This record gives sequence, C-alpha cells and structure tokens, in this order.
Amino acid sequence: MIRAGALVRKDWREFTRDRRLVVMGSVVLLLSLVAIVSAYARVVAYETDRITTEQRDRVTWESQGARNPHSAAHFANWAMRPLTPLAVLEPGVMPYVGAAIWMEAHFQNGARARPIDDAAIAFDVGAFSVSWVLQTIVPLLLVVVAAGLVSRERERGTLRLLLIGGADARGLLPRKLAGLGGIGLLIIAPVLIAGLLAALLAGPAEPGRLVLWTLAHLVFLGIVAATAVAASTWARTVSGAMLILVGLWCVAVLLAPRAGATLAQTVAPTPAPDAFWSALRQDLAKAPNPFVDKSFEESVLTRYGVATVEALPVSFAGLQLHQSEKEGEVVFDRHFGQLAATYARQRAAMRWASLLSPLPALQNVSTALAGTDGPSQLAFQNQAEAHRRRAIGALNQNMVEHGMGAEFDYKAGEELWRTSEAFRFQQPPLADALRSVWPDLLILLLWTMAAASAVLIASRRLARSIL
Amino acid sequence: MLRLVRLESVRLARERFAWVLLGFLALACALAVVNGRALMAQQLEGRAVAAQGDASSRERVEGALDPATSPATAVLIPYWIRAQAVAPSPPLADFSAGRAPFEPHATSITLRSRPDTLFERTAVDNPEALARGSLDLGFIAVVLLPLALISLGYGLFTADRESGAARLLLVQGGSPIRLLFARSLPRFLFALTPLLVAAAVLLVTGPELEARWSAAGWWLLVALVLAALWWAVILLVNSLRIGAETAALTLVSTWALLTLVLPAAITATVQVAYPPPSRFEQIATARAAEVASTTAWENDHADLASEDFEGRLASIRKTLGIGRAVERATAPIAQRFDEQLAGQQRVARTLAWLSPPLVAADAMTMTAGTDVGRQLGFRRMAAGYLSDVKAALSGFVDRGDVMTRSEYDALPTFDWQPQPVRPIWRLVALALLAFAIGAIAVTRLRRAHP
Repeated sequence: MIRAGALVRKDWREFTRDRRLVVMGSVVLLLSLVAIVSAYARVVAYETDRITTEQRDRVTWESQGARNPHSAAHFANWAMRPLTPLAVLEPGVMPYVGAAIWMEAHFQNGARARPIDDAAIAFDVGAFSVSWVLQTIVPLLLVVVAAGLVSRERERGTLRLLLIGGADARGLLPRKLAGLGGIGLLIIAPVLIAGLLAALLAGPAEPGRLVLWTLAHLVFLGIVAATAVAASTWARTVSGAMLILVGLWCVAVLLAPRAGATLAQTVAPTPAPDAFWSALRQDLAKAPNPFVDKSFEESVLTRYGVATVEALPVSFAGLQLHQSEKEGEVVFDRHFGQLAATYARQRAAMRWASLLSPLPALQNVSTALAGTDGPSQLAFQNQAEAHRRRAIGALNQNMVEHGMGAEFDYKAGEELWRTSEAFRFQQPPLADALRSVWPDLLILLLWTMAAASAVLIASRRLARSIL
Repeated sequence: MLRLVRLESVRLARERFAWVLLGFLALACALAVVNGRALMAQQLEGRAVAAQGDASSRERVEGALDPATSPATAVLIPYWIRAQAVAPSPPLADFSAGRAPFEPHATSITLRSRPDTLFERTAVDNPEALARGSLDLGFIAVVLLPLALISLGYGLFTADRESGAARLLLVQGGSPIRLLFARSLPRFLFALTPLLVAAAVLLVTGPELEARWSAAGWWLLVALVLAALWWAVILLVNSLRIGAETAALTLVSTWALLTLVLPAAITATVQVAYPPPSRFEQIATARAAEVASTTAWENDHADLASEDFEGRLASIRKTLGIGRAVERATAPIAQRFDEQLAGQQRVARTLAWLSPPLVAADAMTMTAGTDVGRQLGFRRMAAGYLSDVKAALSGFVDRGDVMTRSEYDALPTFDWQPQPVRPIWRLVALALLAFAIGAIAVTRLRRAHP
C-alpha cells in the first residue's frame, strides 16, 4: 500500500532533482527579493519627500504675509497623496495616477505628477513588484512544475504501477496537489515573509489588510495549482500538458485583464482628455457669472435691503467670489460625476474578464486591500475637492465679512492662514475597501469551487481510465 | 519539396490544437484591432479639439484687435491669447500604443504658462484600465505570437527523436533540414496569418495619415524578423539532443526570461539608476518663489485689477514678473528632469539590447511614432514654443505697446513635423541574430546522426 506522504515525497524529490525547475524557482525568489527591496526604498523615499514638502509648504503658506484672501485662494494649497505601507507589495494604480492636486480658487484640477509621466518606458509588461511576481511569474512556475505531475507518470507508465501498487486513484490528485502546494509554498513563503516585513517597516500597516492580502494571493495560487494539476491529467505527454497549461496561463494572466480593459473602453469609453477639459471649460464659460450678471447684484441688494452696492454691510466682491464658486461647483460636479460614473461602468465591465480568469478579481481585491485601487484614488480626489471648497469658502467668507469697502485691496493677516486647516487624506477604512470588492471576493470563491470541482472530476476520470 | 510542404500543411490542418491556437490568436488580434481603432479615434479627436483651441478666448482676442477698441481693453490682448501646441498624430498608434495612452499631445500656452505646468490638466483615463495593460498588435507580435510559434514548433524534431522516427529518417539518409523546412513553412505562416489580417484591417479601415503605409511596412518587417528570430531559436532547440518536454520547457523559460522578466527588471533598473527628481519639491519651490515675488497676487484677474490702461499693464507686468521668478527658481529642477529622463532613455535603450523582444518592441513604437524619444521631442518642442510665444507676448507688455492685427497674425505658430523614424539598426541586429541562430541550428541538424 502506497501512503499519501510517500507520493508527496516522491514529487518533491523529482522537483529537487530537476535542476531546470530549481533554477527557475531560485530566479523567481531572487526576483521577488529585488522587487521587495526596490519597492520598500521607493515607498520610504516617496513618503519622506511628501512629508518634508508638506511641512515646507505649510511654512510658505503661513508666512505669506498680509494679502487679500482671494490672492491667497489663488495661491491656495496642494493635496499630496500618501502611500500606504502595502504599496510596497502592491503598487496597483499608483504609477498611473497623479499624486498631487492643486486646490485653487475657481477650478477643480485633476491629480498631477503621475509616475508614468516621468518614466521613459514604452513597453509595459507590469510594474516590477511582489504582486507582479505573485500574479504573473509564480503562476507560470506553478503550471510548469504541475505539467509533469500526472502526465509524466502516464508517459513513463508509472501511473498504472502506482495504482496497482495500492495508491487510491481518487486520492491521487489531491496528493499531487498537496505536493505542488508544498513546492509552491517553499518558493513563496520567503517572498511573503520578506514582503510583509517590508510593509510593516514602511509604516503602520493594518494587520487585517496584510492577512487578507496574503490569504487572497494564497487562494489565487491555490486555484492556479488545482487547475494545473487537473489539466495535467488530460494531456498524454508532459510537453503537451506544458503547452496546454502555458496556453491557459497566457489567457488567464496576459490576455484576460487586457481583454477586460478593452471591454471596459468599448462599453463605457473614457472621453478624450482634450474633449473633457474643453467641454468643462465651455460649460464654465456658460455658467452664470456674478461678476457681470446684473441679476446677481439685484438679488444681493434685495436680500440686504439696500439700494446700492456701496451701502452693503458686507464685501460685494466677496459675495461675487462666493457665488462664482457655487456656480463652478455645479459644473464640476456634473463633469467629474460623469467621469466617475464612467469609471464605475468600466470597473463593472472589467469584471466580466473574470469569466476567463480569476486574476482580474484578485487584482481588484489586492489593490483594494493595499489602498492602491481606483476607488481609493477617487476618494483622494473627492476629499481634496471637498477640502478645496471648504478652504476657498472660508477665505471668501473672510473677505465677505471684513473686506467691505476695500474689496480686492483688503488684506487679511497671518492668523487667517494659520487657522486654515491642512489637508489630511483619510484612507477609506478596511470595511469600505471590502465592500467595494465583494463581487470580486464572490468571484474568487466561485473560481475556488470550480478549481476544486475540476480536481474531483479529473480524479474520477483518472480512476475510470485506469480501471 | 512542395509536395512535402503540402503534406505537412494538411497534417497541421488536421490538428485540433492548431485550430484552437488560431482561434486564440484571432481573438487576441480582434481585441487588438478594437483597442487600436479606439485609441486612434481618441488621439485624432483629442487633437482636433485641441487644434480648435479655446473659441471664447479667440473670440475675445479677435474682438479686442479692432482698432476701435479702447487701449484699456486692448492692453489685455497678450494676457488673453491662448496659443496651441498640438503634436502631429502618430502614424501607427493603433498598431503599437507605446506611450500614446499616457502622453499629452497638446497644450495651451498663455502668458502665465510655465514649463513645469505646461501639461497639467490632461489625463482623465481610468487608471485601473491603464494598469491592466494595453492589448495591441505590438503586444501580440512581441508577447503572444512567439508563444504560439513555440507551441507549434517545440516538437518539430524533438518529438521524432523521442518516438524513434528521427533515427529511421537519418538511417535512410533523409535530410532533417528538408523535413524541418517543410514543417516550418506552414506553421510559421499559420501563426502569422491573424496578425497580418489584423494589420490589413487596421490599415484599410484606419485614417489616412502621412507616412502611415510606409510606417506599416517597417512595422510588419520588424514583426516578421522577430518571428523569424523566434523560429530560429525553436530550430536551434530542436537541433539539441533533448526530448520534447525539455525543448518545451527551455523555450518557454527563454520566452519568459526575455519577454517578461528582463523588460520588467530593465524598467526597474532604469528607474533606480536615473530616478526623476521630486515633483513635490518642484511644486514647493515654485510656490515659495511665487510668495517671495509678490504680496498681492492677482494674476488671474488683470481685468479686475484696474479699469485703466496703466493699472492693467502694471497688473500684467506683475504677473509676468512672478512667472519669471518662478521659472528661475524651478529651472534647475526642470533641467534635472530633462537630464534624468534623457538618462533613463539612454540606459533603457542600451539595456534593451539584452532582450531581443524589447529591441523589437522599441523598433515598433519608434515606427509607430509612440516611442519615448518622440514624446520627449514633443515636450521639448512645446517648451521651446512656450519660450517663443512668451517672448513675443511679453515684448508688448514690457514695452507697454498695444498689439495690432498684423502683429497678432505674425505671432509664432507651432509647426513641428518629426521625421519618420526607421529602425534600421534594430532591424539589422534582429535579422543578423536570427540568421546566426538559424545557421547554427542548420549546421547542427546537418551533422545530426542516428
């Protein structure tokens, strides 16, 4: 009778004797460690730079001297996005989004300073990171190792020998899977340990996020391993199995996420940047302008019960600025709201790629847990815009209350700059992150069940084929 | 020989796997065509909108150029002018997207523009879609097609060695080279067909752009030479005395190393070797310079600053002064950006020689007009145009002159026509490599013995 442990040990021996696979495993390990060190250095340098700049800019803001509040509103402040410690593991969308937003008067700016703008690369195969290694390279290694697990036994004729020797036909595949899991864990455990340590060293990482991020990747790699072992039973030769599996990997890892992006752009096309900004500017120009609109002046005079602007108890220029902001906000809400709705439709469309592969779902979960996903960037932009409106509103209010008569020649003192609140980005909590990816978690669960079913079906088929 | 080729073609047509592979490639090519057309349409639409410029601003300027306009209004003309710098459309953005989805292709230039804020309000793409990566014909030619070739060719001769058929052939004095040629031709053409069809669809249905057809010819040449290089590698592996499994593993590993690992590692190395300066530092420096330049900043409202000519002129001069101070303060950082990006480009181009697929990808984006060099070229030209326009406009402000219609018409225009890039050296290098590897494979196969 062949014991389960013996089968696992046999697969392990074959793996370690096959120098080709050992070399490949070592390369993956080395790549991962380099990715961790470089990502850690990048995140720490970014955060140091951001904090230093924020402090320096606050000094500039507070010491700008006496000036008109609207001059200060034009000078305004910048919102700078912090990186989460988990960005060491998963850069997500961060290379493709701006890290700074100018919160100036009259205009809702987009986020600027995208890392991709300052990178001289034209052939993008993914950001070199732990998540890239775990989502792209490790699955390739797993399918290459798995290809021979059953097909090699069949090719050599040892499969029949194993079964005649007393191995349980239905239990064979789960044991093969356990063996593959052991080999996979041996490769990824050091990566995960080093990655998690780096994330903890990079800043106050939430343990819950780290644990869930690790679990999500283990589940994904489990799906890959189970599918690979099941597929290995279908091929007659090892080389055939390898090519089937590399083909599946190609569809799942290279094609599916890109196909999702194509579908998203087809279903809900993003406007051309020039068209977006041009339409926004045109609507702004069409919006009521309190600086030239006589009806605004009349409504103000009526509200205060006076006959002339000079008789107003407040600054008319301040009221005009305030109203101008309100008119602009309607336009910004409409255009940026439509853009956010387009992104949401694109996200839903990209999920359909999960029919081909569990990777798009994992990418959503991974980036959400790391705080490097689209919704967290949107949260940054929304928080910055809310802050802009509060801050500009407060400056205009100061002008309204104290600028009467002097209007644009009125100057506020430094105490006003000191009392204005600095922008602090609040990362959406873990519960919000999980809420945004519940369909993806469900998709991963369904893929797990499908992969387990594939192993069961392949086991039964194997047992029948031998008998 | 022809009979043998026909026989192998029939054999290939009977393989279910080959049709699955063809379906996969056809699907990928169809997606690439959809993507390419959408990107090209967006590029053209964006340029068309940018070229029109800001209609309201132009209307205002045109109105103020009337000789009857009061000097107090006419003095604002240099302040109102928005000049447009629009890059010409890349001829093959639909073939190889390269930098096209990321890079700005147009900008508005005013008296208040600065080099560090030239392209500030451009990107609105969904970052999640960008992070997923683009699927274009370039990606298929560089990444997917080699895998398809490997799956069709790994067992060309190694499978015969395993089955013993090779020994039989050699004992009978048969030539493995003839056999492999007969097997190679239909497989090679079979895998290339979807790419060629997709390229034809894009060309026929795409826009008429200058130098598009010749660029497509060069692009296809690069794709063909890269495919030939991979086929040479496949033949070389088949000439080794190894089994089909080892051949498949060797080829897949080589592909993964050259196509995925090396490009990603090179990108990371380039970023480490030439890190761009801090954008945050640039922002903070500009702001500190702004504050130091003035105590009453109103450069967004020169028209509101005063009702008379002198007051408005003073306001515009103050705006100009602030801009100059900020430019002086940020110039060293801007220069560092230029140096670092040029350094990145230089190192990336050098290291790319380690990976033939990267060399091919570079050659394709250069031909398509979506490479880093062209984009940096546009940034440089736009910065130069900014300098010209500002010099012209600020002349009126400094002299206190009012602009006339003829002076307005004589303002500099942006007319940059980059020369089409022909990646001859890259193509030659890839072809030589393919030839050398192919020659070694043929020599080894010629010496093959039972």
